[in-house]
Amino acid sequence: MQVKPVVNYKSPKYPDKEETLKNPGILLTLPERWRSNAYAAVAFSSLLLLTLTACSRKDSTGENEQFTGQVAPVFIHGDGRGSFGCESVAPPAFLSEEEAFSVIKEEAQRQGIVFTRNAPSLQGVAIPETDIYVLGEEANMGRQKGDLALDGYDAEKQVAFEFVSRDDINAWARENTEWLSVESYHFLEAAKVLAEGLEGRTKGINLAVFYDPNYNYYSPEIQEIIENSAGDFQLMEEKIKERVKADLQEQVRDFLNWLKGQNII
Amino acid sequence: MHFTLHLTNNCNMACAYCYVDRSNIQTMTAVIARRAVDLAAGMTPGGDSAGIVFFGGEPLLYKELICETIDYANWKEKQAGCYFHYKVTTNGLLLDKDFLEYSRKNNLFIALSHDGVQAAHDRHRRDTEGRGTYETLARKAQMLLAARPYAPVLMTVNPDTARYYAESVEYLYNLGFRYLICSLNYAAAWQEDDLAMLAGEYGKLAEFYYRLTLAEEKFYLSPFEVKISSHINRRTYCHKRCELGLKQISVAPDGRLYPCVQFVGDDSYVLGDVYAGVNEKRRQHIYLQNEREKESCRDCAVRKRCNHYCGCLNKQATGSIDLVSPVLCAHERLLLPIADKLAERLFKKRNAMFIQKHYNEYYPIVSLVEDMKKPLL
Repeated sequence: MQVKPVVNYKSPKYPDKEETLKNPGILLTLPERWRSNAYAAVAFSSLLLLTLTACSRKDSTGENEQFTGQVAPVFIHGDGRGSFGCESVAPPAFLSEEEAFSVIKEEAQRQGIVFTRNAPSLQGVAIPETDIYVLGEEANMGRQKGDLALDGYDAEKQVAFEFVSRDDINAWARENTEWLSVESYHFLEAAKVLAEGLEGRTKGINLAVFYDPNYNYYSPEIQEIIENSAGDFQLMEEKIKERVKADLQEQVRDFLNWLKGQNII
Repeated sequence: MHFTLHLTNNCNMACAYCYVDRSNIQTMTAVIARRAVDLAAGMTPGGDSAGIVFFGGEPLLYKELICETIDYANWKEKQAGCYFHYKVTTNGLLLDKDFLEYSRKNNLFIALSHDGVQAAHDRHRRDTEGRGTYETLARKAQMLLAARPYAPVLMTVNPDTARYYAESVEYLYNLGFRYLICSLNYAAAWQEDDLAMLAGEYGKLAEFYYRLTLAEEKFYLSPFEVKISSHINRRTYCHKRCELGLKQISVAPDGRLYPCVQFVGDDSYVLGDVYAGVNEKRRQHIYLQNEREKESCRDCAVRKRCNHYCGCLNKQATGSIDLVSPVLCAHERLLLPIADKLAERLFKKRNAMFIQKHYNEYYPIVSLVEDMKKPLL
């Protein structure tokens, strides 16, 4: 046996401390066991503050971005509006969580991202506070603190998504004492609020917020479909679904391009 | 700065791989122990805490000397305005409730030598009658952990016990040890087959580490922690490593001073004695001799992450601080990629426990707060 110098050794794919301190967001990743222990959580927050104030701000080159999770911009394809009730003459064609997952999964798979439903939850993040009983274009959207169970996740690539669906808007709705016969859904607005609230809170995951691309009943897209469906409600529903699925595919494609641009995939 | 007091070369065990020369039994006197404490106080910068480590042979053969020395050091703290902390490394056979209580009250840290499962432990760690000590130690280990839950365990791996490495670590973890310090007996006759076995065991241990980290368990498993740290803390790692004679001094039973434990008794490495103090010129010479890059490693791509600078290990394995052990080299080459792959997997998952443990310098404090305070209801 002899001493044998190593000729080449590939640099490991985890950062050194110096890299982390340039971009310390990664240190915000809190173990569950500390989260559930108030003393540890307080000690963690206080001491982390010392670290964060001691280290320089993230450099503008963004060279260490790959070590922290980022939230992609909300890619706009579709109005992200919808309603349900007496106002809506066209049949409801909201995308269910299952339908959206299927579209997103299929599109992402083309770029080697394999989304599964086994996705992490983000605790204590700012999520939208919605109002479904509001007339007109104003969303009357607020913010509230809550937990978000992500809809899809590729653990290998650390990429995930949240799809803002009708179920989500209902789940996030504030308690109302007054009701209308029409429910209004502001998917796009909610997606923007959500994306903003998730900044820096993604536990190192690169995240997209997609939304139901649906259209307002009075929009040209829906009116055109109505005109071309000869009163056949089943056909109308199929055409609207087809349209919003295509829009959702576009959102996913934009996200994939963004991931490439960020050197994440 | 640590002062390791070799209280005796006597022992109640006769481990097959022990490097201590027991041909001439010597025991430190209380006077020499006190002078060593005086020296430590004088050589430690104001405000810093000097470590007093009780070592052997088996130091618990002389519990009274340990207690007397700590009493004196406590008195010295008040007189000289210095600080001390204490540690003892023991084979555990003489641990009892009284001593554990004493250690708790006086903040004496206890490190236990234990080689793991019975097949591994009893192969080498035997009493003077040649009997394995595993059975006796199992009870002692439980007693120790009940009193001192942070006690580290020191495990030595030999070629003929390499196959039990992963099993032994898991056994010690299941006993309740959370600080597992594992090292090879570099002086043993390791062969290529043994190293292949070792690689397989490290593979199993990496899975064990991965599983525990995902479960957010808190533990320290030295082979992986050290190698991962050598990358994460690469800018400061070189300053944390062994700096022969600068960070630690070994005090022989007769009061002579040496740069580290492996050198005790070797006249060519004497640095002085507890009365005359350290010969700084001599100390500097030995330090610089060890700091020189070894000729055999000059072109190695991983030399800055490697343990080849440890003069003590080189002395143990090759008889010279200038010659790197081929076994150490082979071990580093097989361990490093396994440790890096493990860290990459955990980082890729953005595992919170991994990130906090390795990147947050306040991790030990937060962890301690967590252990001291139960969750609020």
